[in-house]
Amino acid sequence: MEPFLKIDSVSKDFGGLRAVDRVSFDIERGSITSIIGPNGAGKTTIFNLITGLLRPSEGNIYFKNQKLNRLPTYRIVSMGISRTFQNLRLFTNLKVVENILVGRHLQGRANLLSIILRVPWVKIEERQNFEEAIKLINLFTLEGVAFSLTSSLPFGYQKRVAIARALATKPELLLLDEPAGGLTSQEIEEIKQVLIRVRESGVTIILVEHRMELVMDVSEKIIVLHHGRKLAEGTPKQIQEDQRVIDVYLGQI
Amino acid sequence: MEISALGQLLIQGIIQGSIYALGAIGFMIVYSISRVVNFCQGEYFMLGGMVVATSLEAGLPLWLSLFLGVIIPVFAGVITYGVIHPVRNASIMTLILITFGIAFIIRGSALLAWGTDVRRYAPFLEGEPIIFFNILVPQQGLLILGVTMLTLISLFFFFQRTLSGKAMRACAIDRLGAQIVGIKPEYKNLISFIIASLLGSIEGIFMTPITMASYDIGLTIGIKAFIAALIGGLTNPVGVMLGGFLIGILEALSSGLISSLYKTAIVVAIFLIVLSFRRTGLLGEAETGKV
Amino acid sequence: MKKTQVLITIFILILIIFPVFVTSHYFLSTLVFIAINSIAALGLFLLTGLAGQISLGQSAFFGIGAYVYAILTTKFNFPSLLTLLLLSPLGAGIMAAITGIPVLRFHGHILAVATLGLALVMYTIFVGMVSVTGGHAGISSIPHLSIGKVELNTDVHYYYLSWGLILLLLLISQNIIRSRVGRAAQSIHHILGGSEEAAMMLGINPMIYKLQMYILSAMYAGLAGGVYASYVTFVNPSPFNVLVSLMILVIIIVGGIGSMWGAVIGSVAVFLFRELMRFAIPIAFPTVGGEFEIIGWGILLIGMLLLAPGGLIQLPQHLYQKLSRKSRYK
Repeated sequence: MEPFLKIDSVSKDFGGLRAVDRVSFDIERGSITSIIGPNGAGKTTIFNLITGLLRPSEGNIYFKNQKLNRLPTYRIVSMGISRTFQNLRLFTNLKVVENILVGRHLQGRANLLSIILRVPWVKIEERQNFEEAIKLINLFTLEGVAFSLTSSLPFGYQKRVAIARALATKPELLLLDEPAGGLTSQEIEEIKQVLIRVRESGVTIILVEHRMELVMDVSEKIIVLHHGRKLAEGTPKQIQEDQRVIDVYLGQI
Repeated sequence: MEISALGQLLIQGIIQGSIYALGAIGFMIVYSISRVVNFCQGEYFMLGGMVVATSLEAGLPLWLSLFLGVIIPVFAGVITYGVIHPVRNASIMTLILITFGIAFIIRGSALLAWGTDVRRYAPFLEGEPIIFFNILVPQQGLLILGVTMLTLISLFFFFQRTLSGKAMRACAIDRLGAQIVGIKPEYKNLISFIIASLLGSIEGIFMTPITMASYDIGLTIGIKAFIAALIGGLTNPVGVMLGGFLIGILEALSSGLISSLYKTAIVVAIFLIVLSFRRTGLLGEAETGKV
Repeated sequence: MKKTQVLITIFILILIIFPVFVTSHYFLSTLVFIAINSIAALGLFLLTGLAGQISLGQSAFFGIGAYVYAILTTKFNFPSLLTLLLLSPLGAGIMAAITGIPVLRFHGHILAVATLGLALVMYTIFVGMVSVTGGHAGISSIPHLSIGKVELNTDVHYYYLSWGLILLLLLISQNIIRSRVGRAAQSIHHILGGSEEAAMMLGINPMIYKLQMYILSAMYAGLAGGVYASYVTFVNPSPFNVLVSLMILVIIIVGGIGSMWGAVIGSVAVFLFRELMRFAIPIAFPTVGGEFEIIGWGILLIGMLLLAPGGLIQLPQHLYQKLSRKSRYK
């Protein structure tokens, strides 16, 4: 059976700099995988390549057997991939609930004409959108701030809004870019619980992460990148014992 | 079409184009150093021509008229800087609208001062046009080309060889880095506006004998200079200059071959076509596709 | 929420009753023009205020709407109602669809100049295609709008027509803003806090929504143009020059770019300001001609942007904040 996500010898060049160098790995459906590595190792670039913000210079990316290389981002998202950004990129001009409602965009059908003509199913769809958004707000305990502008929220809350928004697209594959960055240990524990619940609902997860508490506890597989190349791949235990990884990155752990 | 008639149009285009080239350079300087798109660029042109015309009519000696024709637009440039400075970190929309607002004020003041009359004065070099391979080149035209070359060479010298110029280029490349080594960007911003308005006034002073001036010419001149800068690639001086000449030649050719009325339409059309194919203009920096 | 609903209801009531008490031609026709401008400004709000695409091209679409009405009713005897309500906006919309696809790929300054360039080109065409548009002389004897057998030929008729239309469009716009489409448009407004990339990552194709808002805003302006032509019964290029585009932008800035009501408030404010200019400036400069009020607009624009960037609609809030800040230190 073909893997859920297949990264096949992918490279990315920026002028003279090779940010990703012939990286290959497979992701199985329903798994949680982490990509770790020092800064500049190419982790976020891999996410950008998968989601279509960048095009591979070499190699191919397959999702559910379809080649993603030349597709525009919104096409890739409609196929079932969703992602958060390291710098969040919340819609600061919109409230929390509205941010999540934008995430529901692909689940809706209302278009300009049907909205202007006030066709009845539009209202029904809006109500449904709202109910689904409330569910996500509850899942991430954002009830108190649902109608606040995101710019007024503390960082931990903003992080949760970002993940909730990505989940609103009902993805099959969720890419999280440093979900634990800037969080306290307790907040990380909460994120961990959320991730487990998300995985239980059938979503495949890939994390790019630096905080090892989260990575080691939650991942089934870890991929280590260094200078754009895949250095190692294995279970948390294997990675922790891998001498090359220790030399390059983990050291004390 | 006869070679000489075509050549005539070309020469005309190059002469007109050198004016757009200076204006485009003015845009480029302000944009690369202050990150502001200054829609007043055309108004400096208008002021230069109008002030010189009025002074000459009032009987003032040539040197004084020219002096005023430079000083007043530069003053307007300083005022432009002064109004923009407090809000220089505002959004693009705000900045665009503020420079439009200033342009309105300059234009409106010109209307109050000079009314709707068209002004003109005699070319600085009168006399027989020079004949060059069957093409008539008005002497004023040669003067314009000469002044343009001189100005461009001076600018080159300033930016490449003097400390002040190099400091400005540093600001254009990396503001933060420049600040770290002690360069004060605000001061450089001011100078960029002064240079731009200086260029505008020169254009206006030398071009008015040929094209005449009135209070409302600033808008179209400014737009064309901006289009020239964009076509050339907003941050590349050579490209920007070439953009200016290209626009000038296009205008001359469409005036001569098609109709003077549609020359604006053709310039805009070419602008849209060029930028559709190369988002950053002909010689601008290519996008690296980074996120 | 309730307070605004009460205000709006009072406003509508005043609108309805107004012509009973005020019958002067000057007042009523002024109000008609304010409503017409509001329609065009509301369109621009959807494009620039909601979706963040700066456009200086509204004058072109306003003009297209006006000329479509003028030409179809005078030269081809088309029914006026159909032309005004459907064909004028449609003509503008089609032009927007054609020009939008290349132009909307640009952002910021380049987009501003591209739309400005298009407005210039359109004006040149209005002046240049003399056989179609009559050039500078224009088209005259344009019929008023007729609904069935009733011809609307008084100021009062057009007062109710134009204000009825703007209120209807405000309602429609409100529905759009609070919908899936409105949210998608706001999500790409990168100046105010949206992000095209974040939107794409949620499955939104930004180009589609930019284009929809562009076409919609053009249709609003086209409708305004049709009403204008049928009211004034004469069109020539001068009300459709590039400066009109800038004026419409000034209207939404002055009114408040964050709210659709800014279009109406701004139209009223700009009109009042213009009358002030027309009154005051000739006193200081008795021989002045041309569009001298332009200096006033420059001052107004800069003043608003520097002092009250949220526009007049934000003013009560703005002042309240300033005053409460002062009283805290007493």
